[in-house]
Amino acid sequence: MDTLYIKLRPDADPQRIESLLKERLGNDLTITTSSHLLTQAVGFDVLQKSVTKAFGLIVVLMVLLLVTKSSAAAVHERTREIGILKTVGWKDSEVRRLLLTEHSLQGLMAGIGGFLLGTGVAWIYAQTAMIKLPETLNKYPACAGTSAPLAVVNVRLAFAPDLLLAGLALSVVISLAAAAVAAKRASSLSPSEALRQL
Amino acid sequence: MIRIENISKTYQKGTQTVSALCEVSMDIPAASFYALVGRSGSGKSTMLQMIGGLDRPTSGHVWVELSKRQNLATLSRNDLAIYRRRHVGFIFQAFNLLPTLTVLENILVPVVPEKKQWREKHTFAIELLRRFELKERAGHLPAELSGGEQQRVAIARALINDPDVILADEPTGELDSQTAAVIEGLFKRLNSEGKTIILATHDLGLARHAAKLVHLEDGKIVRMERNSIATTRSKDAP
Repeated sequence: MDTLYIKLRPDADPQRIESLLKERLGNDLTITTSSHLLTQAVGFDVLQKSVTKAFGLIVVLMVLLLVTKSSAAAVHERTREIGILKTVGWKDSEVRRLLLTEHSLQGLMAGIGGFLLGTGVAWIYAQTAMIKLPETLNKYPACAGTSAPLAVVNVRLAFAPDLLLAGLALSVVISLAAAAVAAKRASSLSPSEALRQL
Repeated sequence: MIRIENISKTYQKGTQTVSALCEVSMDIPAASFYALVGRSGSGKSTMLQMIGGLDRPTSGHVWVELSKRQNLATLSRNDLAIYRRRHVGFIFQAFNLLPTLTVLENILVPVVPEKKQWREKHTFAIELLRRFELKERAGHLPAELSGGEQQRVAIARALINDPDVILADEPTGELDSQTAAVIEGLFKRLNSEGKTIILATHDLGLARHAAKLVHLEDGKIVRMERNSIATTRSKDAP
């Protein structure tokens, strides 16, 4: 015998039973109580969230770097246009405002696009994926006529408006931060300098 | 009235210092028609940039008497932008239209920052389109226009803020002779309406329309002459 399932009365204290069993049977055994299972589940959850956050942060930093690079290139390609705007009397601040407005709108559009794409992928995943839980979370008597009820979990798609807003805000902020340096540099270019590059 | 006092302009090209203008002085009266002539590199485009507030001289002063007397050499970047917007219209050889905007939008580009006058300026832009026979082209992109049409759009854009001074750098350089003649006629008409016209060109055919020719060589004025033909024509004009 390698596994023994013990069902306790509702008023029984699992910790007391655990210590009694260790007294009787010695320390050469593993005792898993429902509270242990809960702790393990919470542990998995905490670990999963931490890993997700770390990956999220890495993704945000990578996106920021990529968007900064592409924004700088996009603004540089528009030196001619910026030169024309300045020649016809646009101030530095007006050119800067134009570039930042354009980039924030692009960021917003990219955020909406990302949300729609992500929702589509999540929906397909939710329709097809089934998560098999770890064996330790599914201890079930060997004599039981049915399989463990939690062995397989279907993924449900949940809509989180706060997450959507945060995502959109983040995409706008990333676009603005990425374009800020390029916009400042482009707007401070003298018109004659820009015209020489035409 | 524009008074240029001993302006010099030097550029740093790598380790070399290039002198584009060297102690140039001249007066340009209001409503006059001047042509800056000279070979490529003689300093005529640099001179236009100084008068138009696109660049500052390394030394000297550029005085303009418009609503008030001011020295362009000492104006702030913002004030120079306002000066360009309200008092100067620029016309270039390569037209410099924004390729993604329509003809009407290109004409309105200088007034976008001044939202207050938008309706009035929009009406004026339509009037300019009609005046330059571009009304049918209002919704077209620059790439869909001929060279002459593009230059007419550029002239309309230069006029949208009703400037006192029109600066044109080789404005017929990319046009055939027939289209160039139309553009030359437009400059004469604008001058007769009271605009100060200053052209930079090496095309003496275009320069002959100016009342005064300023010959530049190596960044210096070597000769200034009155154009008797243009002056006579101007006097004869109704």
